[in-house]
Amino acid sequence: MILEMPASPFLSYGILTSRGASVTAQFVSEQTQQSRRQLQGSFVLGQGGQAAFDQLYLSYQACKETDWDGYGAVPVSENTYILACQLLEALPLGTPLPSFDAEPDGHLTMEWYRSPRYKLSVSVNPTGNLHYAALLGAGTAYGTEPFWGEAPREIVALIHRVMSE
Amino acid sequence: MSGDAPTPVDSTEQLARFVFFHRYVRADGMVRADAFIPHPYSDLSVTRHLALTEDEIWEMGKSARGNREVVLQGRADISAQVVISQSLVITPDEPPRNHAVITGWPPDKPAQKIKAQLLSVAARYLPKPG
Repeated sequence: MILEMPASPFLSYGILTSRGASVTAQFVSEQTQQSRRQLQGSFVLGQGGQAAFDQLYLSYQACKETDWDGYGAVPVSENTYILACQLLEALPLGTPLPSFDAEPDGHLTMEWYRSPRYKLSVSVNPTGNLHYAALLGAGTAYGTEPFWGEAPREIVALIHRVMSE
Repeated sequence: MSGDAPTPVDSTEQLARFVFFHRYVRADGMVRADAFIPHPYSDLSVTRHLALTEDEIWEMGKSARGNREVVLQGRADISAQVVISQSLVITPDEPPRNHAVITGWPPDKPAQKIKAQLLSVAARYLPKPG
């Protein structure tokens, strides 16, 4: 059963991106996104997903003015916020939810934190690049993945590794 | 001492990174790596504990705020040895007294992030007294 939930005012952030260029590809993409939203509304959001979008919005609000950190930080742009929303929405169902913050260069960050030595930070920048860095016990992993509307496999794998290893 | 060149930073020294943004501190008291990302400059501003009392360190934090509309939340203390072990360089940069900068950051963001992560793990957060 799919339960309808009221839409959050924080969720009005625009059109989702699609890799496909044709009308058909666009239609398929929109249908997929619509189905995903319904599923999230019925399952994940009821378990904290909605709160995650709200927290992301609050992080954006807290960091959208210049010098929000006291050291001359760059404001988080609306485009960065939209991309972060899209990334959050693109995470596979059942993915542990992150916490949110921002970096002084204006990137929004999502952090999956299990302990000081097991954590993953993903920075969303305004051009759609995802910079990530993970502590995995004694090991580390870091790099950059482009975001085209789907959560990169490398990052999804790291989320599960950090949170369940 | 006034007018003398500051002494080079020794690996046994303690450094303070003042925190003005409350979201940089987790509920478990650990400081987030975001507090160590060097921006908008290519270096990261810190204060050496060297010869300062606790009260003087906090006074340095308050004065670091300058005229900006921010509130000092606390400070993240970190050993110079940890910074050096990340192939970063600590350079005295006075005035103000005991000010130093951490330089040698890699230019690419992911490499900066992993170093910031490792610094944050070793840092000890102290909320502002009172």
